[in-house]
Amino acid sequence: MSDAPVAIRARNLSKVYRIYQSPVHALKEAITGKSRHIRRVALDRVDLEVRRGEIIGVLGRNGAGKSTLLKLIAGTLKRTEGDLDVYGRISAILELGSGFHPEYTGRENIYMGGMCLGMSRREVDSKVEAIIEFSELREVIDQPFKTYSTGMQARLTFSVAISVDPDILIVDEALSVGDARFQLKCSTRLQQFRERAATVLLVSHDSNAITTLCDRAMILEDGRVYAEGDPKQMTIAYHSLLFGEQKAEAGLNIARAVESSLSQEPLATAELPAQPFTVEANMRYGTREARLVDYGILDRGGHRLQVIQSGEACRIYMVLDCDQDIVDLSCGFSIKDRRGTVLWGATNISQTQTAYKARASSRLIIAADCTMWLSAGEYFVTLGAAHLADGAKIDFAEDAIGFKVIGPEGIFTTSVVNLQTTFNIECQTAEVERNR
Amino acid sequence: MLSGPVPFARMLYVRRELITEMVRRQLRDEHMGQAIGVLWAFGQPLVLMFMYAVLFAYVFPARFGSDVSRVDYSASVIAGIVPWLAFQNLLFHAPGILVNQANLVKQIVFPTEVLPVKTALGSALPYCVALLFALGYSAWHGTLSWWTLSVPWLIICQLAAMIGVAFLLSAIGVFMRDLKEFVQVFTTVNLFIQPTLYNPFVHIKYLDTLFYFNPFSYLTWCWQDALFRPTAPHPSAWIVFPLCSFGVLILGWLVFESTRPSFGDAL
Repeated sequence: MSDAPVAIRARNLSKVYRIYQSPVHALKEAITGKSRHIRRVALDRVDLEVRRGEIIGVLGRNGAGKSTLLKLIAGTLKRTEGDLDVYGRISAILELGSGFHPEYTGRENIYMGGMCLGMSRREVDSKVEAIIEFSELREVIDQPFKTYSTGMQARLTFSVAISVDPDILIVDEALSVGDARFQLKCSTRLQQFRERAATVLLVSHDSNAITTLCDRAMILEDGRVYAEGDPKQMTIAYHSLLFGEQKAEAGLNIARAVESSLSQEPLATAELPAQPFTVEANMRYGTREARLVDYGILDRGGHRLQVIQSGEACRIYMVLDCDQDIVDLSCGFSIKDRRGTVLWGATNISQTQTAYKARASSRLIIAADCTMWLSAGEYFVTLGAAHLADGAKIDFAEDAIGFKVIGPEGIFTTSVVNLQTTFNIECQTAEVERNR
Repeated sequence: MLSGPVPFARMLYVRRELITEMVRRQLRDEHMGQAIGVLWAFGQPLVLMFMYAVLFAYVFPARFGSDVSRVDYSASVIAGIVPWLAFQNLLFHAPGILVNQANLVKQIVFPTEVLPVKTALGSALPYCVALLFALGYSAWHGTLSWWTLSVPWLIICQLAAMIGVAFLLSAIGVFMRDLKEFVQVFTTVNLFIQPTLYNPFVHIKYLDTLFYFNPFSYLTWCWQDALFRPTAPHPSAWIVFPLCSFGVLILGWLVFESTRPSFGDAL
């Protein structure tokens, strides 16, 4: 791949926006030549080289400069400094429904949208059937665009944009709107792009899309390239970058305590990442005879995790400070998916059928060692403690930990569980194979 | 892209399909969801024409009893008002051409220069019916002459001027949002500082001087010469109008091309 011709090359690419408090200031500046604007650096000396046939993912939080980068490449913004060379016909999906008129039917919009993207009428004529086919909107294609759902609009936009057969396709967040099946179809189409040596630049928050589709990924942070490399590593780095922001001072010390107390298998003591992992619980309630002071997920090495590779071992833990004697303590964890379905759960009762007796002013560290057999997706841990006798909650944190599972490869992206699959086709009768 | 007449002509050719499609859309868009839809686009100018004809043929001459003003100059008014209304139609739209289509300008790889061209053409097109009306009216009044043969040339000049103005105003409108208000005030005032509504046989000195400073007067004079058999033609107008038209086209295109890279920033 590395000797393929270059499709996009950026050197020291910078973009500075001039922000005026009011249009009058812009006018005054134009007349007097005296500066009246504030500079905001959106892109700061970015180097980028993308070759033909590559799918490159761009990660970054809001305001990191992703859209600016894409717009510079697409040519809708002017660079402030640096060099930018783009070779080939570009098609971009930067916003859903650009050039689409809500009053017109889907079919009319295919024509307008296609021509806006640079196709001739005849070219659209020849592709219109394929576009309708791909969008799966045949039944409604002659109804007004405004009657479509967001997902349907996204499907039509995407279908038109990829029908251009560009050399470079820029996709900004557009994939995430369609349903899973359509996403899969888009992924397949993007891979076909790669096969005919087209370049795809994909901006997404969806780590799954990045890891499964991209050959390479880069993270933008404050207008700079924060990291670049293998998509899987980049998504992990991106997530620690995202969640690393939330600073809870308490987290660190207790995490050390957990570490030392849990170690049957020795946990690495050296490097506990500074970024605590505890997120604000969605809902927290209970009598508070005991208090949750820390919770999280650790990997085998004792590092806090946000992103877990499917199939990896991990430890879910919580730290409970008891203020009173609790003779019938029941405590544990459950994992829910985004829709709120409980996928897994374990408590000391389900494990040992006996309640735990906790003394006043003791600190309990409760942990469940698991192998993450969930498939790719986002999940939430609910955890807490309760009285066994009457079920009264002591301290419960709903959806306290959000985490992400990535991989496994080779199974449907819609899979819920990882069945650790080995897949093979064996031909038993050579005759049948030959007759086909 | 290089700027200049040649790239402009090439752009027109390359984008001809998109332009035609967008002009059609523009006419339909404005009247989308209405019962008789696009008929409004063509019908409204006709109603206006009819009103002006009645007003200047019957109402005003009756009011003023003097000999000179009894001359029916309604054909002259109509000859001048059709091109002006077409132009005014564009002036209303022009400052917002890019601002209102910011999503196209900013979001996708779109040939922005198509927008002013299609708006200019789309603003002029509804007035072709009104122009036919004006021709018919002049024929009925017997004011057609050899000068009338110049109508196609005048149409070309007028379109050039309109496209040029569309380039100019749309580009400036991106950076100066108040332009719309300026232009609206200007259009209202401008109707009275050009020779359109005035009796061509009555000359008021200070008005005539004023007319000479208004570029729109030359446009009006040309059309009036062509449709209202000139007793006193305006040869200077036949030089100034085409020069101004193509001048403004080139100027508009240059301004548009040089400011285009900043559109994305300003929108």
